[in-house]
Amino acid sequence: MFDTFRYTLLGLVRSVDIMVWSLLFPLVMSTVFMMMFGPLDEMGAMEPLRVAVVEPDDSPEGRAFDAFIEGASEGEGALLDVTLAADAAEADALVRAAAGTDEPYVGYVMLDGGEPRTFVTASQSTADLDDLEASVLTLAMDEYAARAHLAANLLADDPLALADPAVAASLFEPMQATVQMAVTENQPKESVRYYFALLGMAALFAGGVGLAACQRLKPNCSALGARRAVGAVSHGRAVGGTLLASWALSFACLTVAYGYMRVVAGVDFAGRDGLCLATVAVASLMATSLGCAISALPHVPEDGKSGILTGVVCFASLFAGLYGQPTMQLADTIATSFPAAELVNPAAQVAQAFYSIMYYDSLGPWLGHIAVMTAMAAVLFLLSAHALRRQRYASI
Amino acid sequence: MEDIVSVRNLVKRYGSAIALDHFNLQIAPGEVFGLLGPNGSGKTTAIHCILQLLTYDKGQISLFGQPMSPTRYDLKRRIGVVPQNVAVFEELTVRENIDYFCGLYVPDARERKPLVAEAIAFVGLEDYAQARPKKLSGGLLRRLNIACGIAHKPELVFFDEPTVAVDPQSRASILENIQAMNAAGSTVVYTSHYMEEVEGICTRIMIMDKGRTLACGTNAELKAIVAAGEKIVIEAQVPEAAVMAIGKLPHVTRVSYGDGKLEVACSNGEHNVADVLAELARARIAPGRIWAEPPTLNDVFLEITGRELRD
Repeated sequence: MFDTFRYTLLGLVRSVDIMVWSLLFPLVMSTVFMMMFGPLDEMGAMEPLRVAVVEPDDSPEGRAFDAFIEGASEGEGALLDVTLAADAAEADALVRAAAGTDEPYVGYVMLDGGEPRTFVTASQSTADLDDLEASVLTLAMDEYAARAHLAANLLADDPLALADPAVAASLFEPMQATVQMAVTENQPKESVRYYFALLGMAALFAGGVGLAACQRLKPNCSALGARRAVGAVSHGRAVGGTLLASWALSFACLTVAYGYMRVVAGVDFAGRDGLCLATVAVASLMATSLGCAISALPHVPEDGKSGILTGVVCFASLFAGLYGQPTMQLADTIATSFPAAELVNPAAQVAQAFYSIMYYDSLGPWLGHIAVMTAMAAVLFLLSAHALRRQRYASI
Repeated sequence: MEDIVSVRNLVKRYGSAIALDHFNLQIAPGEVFGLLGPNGSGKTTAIHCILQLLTYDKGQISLFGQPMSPTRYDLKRRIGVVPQNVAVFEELTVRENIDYFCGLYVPDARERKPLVAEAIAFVGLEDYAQARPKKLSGGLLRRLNIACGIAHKPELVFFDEPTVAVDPQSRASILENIQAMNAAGSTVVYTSHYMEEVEGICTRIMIMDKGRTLACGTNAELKAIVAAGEKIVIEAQVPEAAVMAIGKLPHVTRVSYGDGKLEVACSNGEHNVADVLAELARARIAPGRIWAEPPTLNDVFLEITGRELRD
């Protein structure tokens, strides 16, 4: 059985067709996704607002404003990216000069009579992001103005209150009126779903390994199969070694794809590598069983079986949402309206298993998908059992 | 001595078509047994049934005196098969392929190593041991096909049309190898539709057609079946009237004319050539080259079926 395993594996590894679809294809697609989704992910992240600030004078209001600006532009998660200008004319010139470039200013701010005044540029494009940045800057300055007023009033009405460090500190602390709630284990990211769907597609393409291995095993599928069948190795061992080699190669290919997404593409799998590898193992088993089942289809030419596998992969991947936002919505709609359709979709099950690892605290949903995939593998193996067990044929 | 292969009343149908019609075969140890017949005569089907690749409707098959079945791995271990189509792993090297197929019979890798080396040397593929099959020519591929089937030194080897689409040099090499194997103690079953090959290497020959045994015996025994004592071939331009006149001569059993060659089959007679030449002279025909041939297996086939073996 070891020789069967070894040489079947060696033959499959050296098969260009198989390695292109099972190994290279997911890597290429991952790279394409990286290029597609990288800029989109960055767009979703808030960058510091690029703003020109007229250098305040040395008055108490000026020093307070200077301290505010310094606090807002320092450290990780800084709100402002500040460029100091000597006066309003210079700030205005800076903003105008940068307009339409890759690094425009949102506007400029200055202290006028002890109160901040904000000048924002009119929207330069149809993108809503420009208006959003201007609003954020305006809000920040308005909040500063409100707090400055509060401090001035307090100083006038109850100067002793400001002697209390807690009161003084509260004037300058960020407001905590809004608290972010975490409804999932990790922060959702739209692009990650595509990678999960791609893993689903890659798993099914790995079914080609099982298909090719079975074709080379069965006398009615190839001359090679016929020759192997007349050998003195028991049929059970030949089948066992062949399936084991197919599963091992599928597992290896998917693991490489997973590793590439994890390390190179930087896809967040929530650090649950053990669960991810377990998912890859079960998905590979399911892929092998799919290949076996397709190889067992009667009255279908061998080339036709490869076509059927490709059709199954593409169709299943469509409903796993791989082909873009509309299909992602279609997948969601079907999952909601016809849960059974998702249940029998192997690509969707693989994608959902990774999704569960990423977003759920509990292992329940993941175990559910693993159970479904295992059941699928069992059913597919059962369907191909008769063909795999068969040693004699009416014609070959 | 007990037959190494025994097939009795084997019937195999493909739907309504009968591929083997009460086929019988007995092969003694040490023979090079030839199965000769045109394409579709049932040779390969017979071998596939013997090897238990095909189901059959009726009949008994025994190898080494024991009933054969798909799970008789003890019997399979003593058999080698060289299939009609080259059946090897395209992705494995010559050495790996031979090692794999030898491993189907010899599980111990250490025991296998010298056998593989010997097989490579036997078919003369030493220079290609690390090459993959797609780098080999058709003749070298056939040699690899043979090495994969014989590396484990089987007692009984089935060669199913091993020289199809092979150049003359490789064909000669393959036939030599088969004879060498037989000399080393292997019993050989050799199927072909090339009568020259079968005549050249087989100790006993069975002629098949349409799934039935037409004749079986040694080369000489088969030729004795034929009424033709000799075949006279004359290069000349012969009109149809003269051909018909020659056909009416005593001892002439068959006459044909084509491509400037007159072929006259005669039963044993003392003056066959003289009689034919006299008839040509009467028709004022000047003959070119003239020669006489003993009957071939093709003549035997023709005698029995009325058709050429290569039809």
